[in-house]
Amino acid sequence: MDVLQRFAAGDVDAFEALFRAYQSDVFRWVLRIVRDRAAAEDLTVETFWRVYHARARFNPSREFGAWARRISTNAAIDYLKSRRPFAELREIADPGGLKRGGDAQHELGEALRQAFAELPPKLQAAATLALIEGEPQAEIAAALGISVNGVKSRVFRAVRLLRKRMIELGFGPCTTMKTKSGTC
Amino acid sequence: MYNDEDEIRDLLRETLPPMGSSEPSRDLWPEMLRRIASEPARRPSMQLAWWEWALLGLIPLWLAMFPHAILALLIQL
Repeated sequence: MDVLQRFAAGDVDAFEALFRAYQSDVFRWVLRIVRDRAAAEDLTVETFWRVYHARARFNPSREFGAWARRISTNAAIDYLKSRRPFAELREIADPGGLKRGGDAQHELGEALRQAFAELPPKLQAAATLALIEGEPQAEIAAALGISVNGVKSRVFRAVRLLRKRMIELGFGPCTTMKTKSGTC
Repeated sequence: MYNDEDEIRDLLRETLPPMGSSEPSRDLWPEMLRRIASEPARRPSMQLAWWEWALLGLIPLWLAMFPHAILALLIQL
C-alpha cells in the first residue's frame, strides 16, 4: 500500500510524510493569498487539519498536492472573510487618513492597499494570484474550483472595483498618472 | 478611467510586491500533532438504512395495537 492509500486509511505516519512533503507548497500558496507570514503558518496547519479530517473522502488515485491546494485556498479565503471587519473598522475610524500628510506616492500606495483590502475575499484571492503573483490562470482556476473564464471574470470585477474605489478615495487616473510619470 | 488591467497590475505590484518563495519559519508538524491529539474522541455514529428506521418506527405502533406483545418482545431481548 503506498503512502496515499495509507493516509486515506488513517495512518498518521503516512499523514506526517505527506505533511512534510507538501507543507512548504501549501505555505507558499497561502502566503501569496493572505500576504501575512504568521497567518500563512497558522493556515498551513489549518489546511492540513482539514485534509486530515477529509482523509476518508480522498481518492488515492488523485493528486494530493492539487487537493491540498484547493483546501488551502478555501482556508485562506475563510481567513480573508474573517479579517474583513478590521479593514472596514479602519476605514470608519480614520476616514480622512489618506489625505493627511506623507508624499503623494505614499498616499497612493495606502489608498490602493485599502481598496485592495476591501475587495470581496474571492475577488481578492483571484486578483492577488493573477495580478500580483502572476500565477497561471489554469492553476488559479483549479485552486478556486472554478473555470478559467471564472478566474478572468473575477479578476475583471476586482479591477473594476479597485478603479471605482480609488476614484472614491480621490485617486482618479490623472492623480495616479501624475504621481507615476508627472503627466496625465 | 484607468486605461486597463495592466495599469492596475503595475500599481498593485509597486504597492504590494509578490511574496516570492519562502519557507515557514518553524517546523509546523509539532503544532499539527498537538491539534490531532487535542481532538476529542469521536463517538461511533449509528448508521442505519431507511428501512431499519422504518421497522424501528413500527415497533411502538405494534405495541400500541398488541400490548401483550411486549412480553414477547422482552423475551427476545
